[in-house]
Amino acid sequence: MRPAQPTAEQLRIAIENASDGLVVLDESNRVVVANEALHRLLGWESGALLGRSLVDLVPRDFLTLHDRQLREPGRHVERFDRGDGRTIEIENSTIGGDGGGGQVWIFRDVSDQERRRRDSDEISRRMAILHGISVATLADGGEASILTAAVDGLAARYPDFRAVFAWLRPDGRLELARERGRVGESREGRVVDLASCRRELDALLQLRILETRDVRIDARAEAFRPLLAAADIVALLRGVVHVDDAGFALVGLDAATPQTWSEEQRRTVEAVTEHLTVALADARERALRREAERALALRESEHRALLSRLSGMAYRCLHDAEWTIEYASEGSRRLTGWSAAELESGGNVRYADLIHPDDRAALWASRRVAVAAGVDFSNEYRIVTADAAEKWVWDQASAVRDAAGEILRIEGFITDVTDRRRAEAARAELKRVLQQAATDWARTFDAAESPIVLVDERSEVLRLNRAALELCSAESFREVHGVRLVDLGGGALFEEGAALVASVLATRKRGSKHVPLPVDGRHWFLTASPDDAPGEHARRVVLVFKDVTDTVALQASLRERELMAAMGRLVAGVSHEVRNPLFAISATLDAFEQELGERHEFETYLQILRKQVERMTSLMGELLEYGRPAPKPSGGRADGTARPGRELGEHRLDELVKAVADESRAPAFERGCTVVFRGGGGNAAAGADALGLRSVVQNLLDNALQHSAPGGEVVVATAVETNASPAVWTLTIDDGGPGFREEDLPRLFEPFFSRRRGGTGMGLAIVRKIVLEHGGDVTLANRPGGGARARVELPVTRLDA
Amino acid sequence: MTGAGRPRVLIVDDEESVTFALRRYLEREGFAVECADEAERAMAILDRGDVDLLLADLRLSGVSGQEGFALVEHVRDRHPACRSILLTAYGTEEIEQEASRRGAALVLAKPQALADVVTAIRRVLGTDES
Repeated sequence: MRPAQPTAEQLRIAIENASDGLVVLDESNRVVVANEALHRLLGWESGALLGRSLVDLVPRDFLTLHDRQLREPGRHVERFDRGDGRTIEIENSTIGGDGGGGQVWIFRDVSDQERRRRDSDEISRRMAILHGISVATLADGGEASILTAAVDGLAARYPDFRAVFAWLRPDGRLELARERGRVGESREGRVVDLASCRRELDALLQLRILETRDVRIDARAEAFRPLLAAADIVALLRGVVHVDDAGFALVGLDAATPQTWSEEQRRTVEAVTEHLTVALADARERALRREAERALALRESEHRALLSRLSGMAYRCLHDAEWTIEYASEGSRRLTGWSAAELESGGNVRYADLIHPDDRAALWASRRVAVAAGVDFSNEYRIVTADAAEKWVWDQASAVRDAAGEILRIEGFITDVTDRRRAEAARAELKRVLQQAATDWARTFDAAESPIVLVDERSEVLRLNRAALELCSAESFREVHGVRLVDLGGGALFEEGAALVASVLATRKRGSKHVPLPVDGRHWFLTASPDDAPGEHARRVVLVFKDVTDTVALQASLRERELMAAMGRLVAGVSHEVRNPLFAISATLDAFEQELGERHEFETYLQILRKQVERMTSLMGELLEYGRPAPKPSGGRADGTARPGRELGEHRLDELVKAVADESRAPAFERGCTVVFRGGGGNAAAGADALGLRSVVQNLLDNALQHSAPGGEVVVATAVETNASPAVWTLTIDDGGPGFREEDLPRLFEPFFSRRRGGTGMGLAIVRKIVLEHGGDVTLANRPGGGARARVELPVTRLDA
Repeated sequence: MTGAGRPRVLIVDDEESVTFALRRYLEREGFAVECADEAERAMAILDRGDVDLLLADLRLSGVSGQEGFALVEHVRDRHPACRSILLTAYGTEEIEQEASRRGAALVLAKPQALADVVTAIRRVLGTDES
């Protein structure tokens, strides 16, 4: 439809009100008309351009446009950058009938237009990336400019054409802009409360939700009449749903537009509106197509990159238990060992058969549930590949449906996660082993009998075991954690430990120390080792306390035993060697006495010699007894030196003592003394050398009698302590004599120690030897009330023999 | 028993003073006494076949210290009529048992009163008065 020619007056008004700069040049290129907008655009004072030459207005480059217009009369458009970031478009055309007139130049600021397009493109692109094609198509910035162009076009033609832009905001408020021109800008706007047409508003918003792009509101004019009234719209041109938060845009004619237009005018508006509808539709289609293409390209390149990168298989299959594959990517070979062609329907392999039999049913159930719930399917399961290997795969898929919601197919992607599963399993196993090891370690640590303390480089406690807690009398680990070793309260022991740790920290070498404690007679062996584990804990020290009291005692006892055995061998050897010459002397003495004993003058000599030989013989016997190795309790005589007449076996100790005591009554009586026996040992018995024990009792009893004054009493008493294990039988022999000298007490059991004239000093040594051989102990002491006490302890082998 | 009813005793000891004293003592007690200071000579005397009793020290000059056992065995094997008594400074049960096993009638510990030795000899020979 051809628009009607405007009148000169209409043209003048249009020029004056146009937002574009307009200039009309006469034949000599002088400005005859220049509107306000042109002055603003080019930075001149209003009216200052009138009468000036074109050369003053435009950059030199654009004179070529003028020249071209002269050569080829018609419409030419050029753009130039004004230098301040704004782009000006210049449209140049000749006016005035047959070309003899001047030229019209229209200067249009297209910066915003450009920017809007760029912005719009940018938004579309972002939307495309973020939401995919369906959302991307919503973004179409083109419509707004078309709308603007149409309204501007109409306004240019009809000076009294007044467009109304109404922005229906999502919050339900209607914002009106009366200024004709740019859509989306609200100049001198006013806000209308739409509470009165809430229903219509909701209907519109509903339309928007349904993604209806444009609405022919005039078709529903009746329904929207209150809304149009609120917007002062008397004739609706368009209603467009915008994608952004601006909401719903209405464009119409307001009451200021003359109601009495000519038929021609009415047709023009209708034609423009019609044209507008088509243009909008085209623009939208173009945008849709463009965006679709862009999104598709994006998706395709993305997918191609993804598929080539990932060691997985993209697939499309039917939603059936056979997993009928319609399409598989070539990753299938790496994943399953089968090519895509083999897996796809028509191939010889069914994907369902690859799924591990144990997982198949559960997997199908899981897929059906996911599809029914309309959610993505994501599962890990096992497949068996072409070479019978088992693989863990991760399958992520979703259902593709048609418009009616019917499931067309399943599309998804399957990745090999075997390594991850293995790594997870290995990690789990490692974790389990580590936990087990930690538990075991803690148990072992606590179960260790020796106290163990782990300290840091400041000698502060990091860890310690139960035995160590007991050693420092602590209740809980909490009490002692971080406490310095010396402050643990163990006294000298921990001080020695701390000193040892300090030296180990200095030398980084293992150290040890023997610590005897006079306080309780215990012996400790301390070992400190640097914790050599690499890493942050390299400066820790492990301190182990070992109670070696028993070992030390054992060693002392062994040393004594060894000493006694060596001495025994020596003594026995000497004794034997002495016995031969002793026999030679005694035999010669016997022969001498036999021949010459009658002669009186020899008597005294013979007596002296005889007495000394006897004494020596006796001493040799005692020495031999002292040096004799302990008899074997088994009764064996392998040592070859046991004295004849040994009675090894289990003996009732009280019976044995009573017999000796009874035998001693007669010699006691001769001294005017009495022997009292108080048997409290019951039937306690011990594995013993009866002869040896008898000599022990005899010896101690003789000793007691020898130190008793006439009228004195020697009390022999026995008892059993059953609370010890094994039970202990004790014998005490008390006399009323003067007792021992204090200084003699430590030496009484030493061989040859004797204060008694003529005594060999071997008696008590032999007593002690025999008692020790029986695993017992013997002590001599002074009783508080005076007199001496000998006390023998023996372990009981049977309490009721 | 041989000769004029005087029992013949062979004394074997490497200690000359011992053989001297024993010889003097036993002779006065009515024994016919011969002496040897080592095993070989003793065996030669024994093999004459007129010795009634061997009184030998267990340890003679030798390495084993128990050479007397060989003499006792020799007597048991070759001269069943002869009796043996061993003297030893190492009197133990084991030596007693061993001596008995090899045929000795008695083991006497050194030192020993010679009167007791004579009593023992007489008992072994069955000539004591009791």
